[in-house]
Amino acid sequence: MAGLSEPYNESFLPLIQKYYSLEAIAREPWHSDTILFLPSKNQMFIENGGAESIATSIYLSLLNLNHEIRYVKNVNEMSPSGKGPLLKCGKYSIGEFEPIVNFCNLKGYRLLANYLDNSKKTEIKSYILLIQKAFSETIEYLLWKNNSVQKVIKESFNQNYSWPLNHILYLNEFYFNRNKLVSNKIWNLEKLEVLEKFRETNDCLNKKLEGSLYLIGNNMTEADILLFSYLKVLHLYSDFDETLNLLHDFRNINDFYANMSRKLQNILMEKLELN
Amino acid sequence: MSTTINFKRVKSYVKSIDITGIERTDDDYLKKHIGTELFKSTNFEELLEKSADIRSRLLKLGCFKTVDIIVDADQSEKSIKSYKVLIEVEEQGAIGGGIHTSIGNNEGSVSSSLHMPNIFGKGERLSAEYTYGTRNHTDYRMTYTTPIDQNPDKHFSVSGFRSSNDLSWSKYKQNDSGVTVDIMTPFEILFKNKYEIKGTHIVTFEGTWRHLLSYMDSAFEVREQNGHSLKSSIKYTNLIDRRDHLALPTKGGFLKTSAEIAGLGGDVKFFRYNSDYQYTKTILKYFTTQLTFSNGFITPLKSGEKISIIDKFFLGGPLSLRGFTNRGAGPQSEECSLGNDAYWIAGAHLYTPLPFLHKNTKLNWLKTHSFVNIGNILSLNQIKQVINDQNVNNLINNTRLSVGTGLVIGFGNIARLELNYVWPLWKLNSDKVLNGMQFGVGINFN
Repeated sequence: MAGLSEPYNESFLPLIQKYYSLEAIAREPWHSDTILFLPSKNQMFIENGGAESIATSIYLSLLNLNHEIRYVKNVNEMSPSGKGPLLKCGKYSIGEFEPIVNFCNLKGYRLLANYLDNSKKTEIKSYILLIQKAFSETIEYLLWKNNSVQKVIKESFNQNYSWPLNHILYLNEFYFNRNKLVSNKIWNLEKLEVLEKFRETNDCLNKKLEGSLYLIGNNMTEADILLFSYLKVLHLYSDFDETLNLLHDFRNINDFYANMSRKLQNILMEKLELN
Repeated sequence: MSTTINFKRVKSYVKSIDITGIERTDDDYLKKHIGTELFKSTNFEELLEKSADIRSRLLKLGCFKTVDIIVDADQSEKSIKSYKVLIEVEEQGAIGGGIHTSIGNNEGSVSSSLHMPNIFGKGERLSAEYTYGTRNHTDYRMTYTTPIDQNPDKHFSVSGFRSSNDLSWSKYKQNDSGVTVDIMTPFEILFKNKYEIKGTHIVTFEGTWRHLLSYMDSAFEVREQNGHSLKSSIKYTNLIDRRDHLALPTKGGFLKTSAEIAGLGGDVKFFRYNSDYQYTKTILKYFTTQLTFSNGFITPLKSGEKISIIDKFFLGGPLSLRGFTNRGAGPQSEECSLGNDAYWIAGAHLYTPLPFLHKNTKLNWLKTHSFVNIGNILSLNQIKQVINDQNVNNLINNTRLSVGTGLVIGFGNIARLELNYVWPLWKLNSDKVLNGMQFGVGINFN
């Protein structure tokens, strides 16, 4: 690794190292025809509301890394990790937010906050994990345990696949998520218990944001982008209103969201067509 | 002293037909296939011929292991012209099964099967089969077959299947689950009132859920096609096969054409045509010559729609365009064969017995083999451009040609094995060629 830009999370290296040369990744410039594949718009809702897709596009835009956004129905299947979004940069195909961040780091592109010392980098990674776990588990619970949402989910499968494949793939997805939530000991909890856990995590985040614009230090980090993207998703879909209402009392989080919204307004409008 | 009896002059008639050994087969079904013609026999030769016909008809039903016909004098009648016919049958077991190995296109496989013949007494058959191939190919299949109109030559069958294939030349795996419904009927054409041509019409409906999964290091052109698709198609196949051997014929022609339209439901929509021709003739007693030709094209039903790599055509391999690796001719990206919309391939072959062993008929399964293969694989746009420009140079420049010589072995009446030394003479830079020894096993060849 000597001489190479250190990626933000080294756990990403073994997978990519198996197939690609890290030196080659670092050496090659950013390709002008880079494409960021996101789930089709009617699928976005079931992919955690598209939080990681929003976060990835914001991240690339903040680094001024040009990328065309393309919405496809098979982004999860296209992604080497089995989850979207997928970045195609030259001959490399990188799936999911965190590996994409690491890929950019390896090429020498990083947010200012990434020049922090190692302990701060570990802190960023910890916050990313915390946000991913707390928000994605809650959203997945609300999506798959809630019978009234199933109609919307089924409709998105109907729009993308013909009968009877739409039913088969819906059931596949339902049981996959159900089993995941069961193994994470979430599925059998009452809704109030899940929301309480979510509230506790946000309480911590709220305290962390006390007197600060960002979670870590004075500059925006990947953790801030991810937190903002999840908050954006809660604002976008009325099915998550109950969750959003829990955050009303957390003034620091609300200020954080308002501040980030102002800063990222152009990116959201131009790249993702989100208000 | 020897005497010759002319059975035609021996008057005889059938008084009764007795059948023994029937347990499950339906009486009416059996009566229909035995018929009444035996009772119309007027002489002993006719009686024997009709008995033999009945025996072969009954065996064809697939309900019986053995059929024996005994013609005996009818003791109850005073007339010596009166005979009774006893048909002794042994029915197939209620459940059968087995394990066997087979050779497909460059792949060996082992299959285990379980079948229930004559399940409802009228020639119906239910079978379940599991196949495992050496190239990570697996196939589970359950098939129900029944004769149409109680005619064993006409079949209706329904299959449910689940299969998995590893297409390493294009770096993807394909998992299919689905249903096929086949109707198979024979036909006869009298050509110029002289040549009788027998063949088979096959109409197939297919509904398949297909899941394509690329390798980690696949080209992006393959990766972007990952995912699920649903194909619902109807296909018509016309088959005429007059060869004396499937793998190593010495005479006869073969013609197979098929046209498939997908898009009756599902999200896969195309029209696909394919045909294979072969003509084989032996000259000067030992020299077998053979001409082969195959072609095909696929087009989307709506312009602008993409054709999946699963449905495209590929060219190259030890039994098709020799001198090229499997799927080696045609567009490639990062070591992945991408396939194309249309192809044609022709071959001229000469087979001879091994030198100095030409009189040894036991070695008919082993021959020397010399060949020329020529072919091309194109996109529909390339063809359109050739038509628009009225310039065939592009077409000729892309044509591939190879020559070679070697040995060919016919396995049973199914597969053939070839070991050839090959020279690919015309090739494109992007092609994956194989200059030297090439080994191949398979069923279909060009």
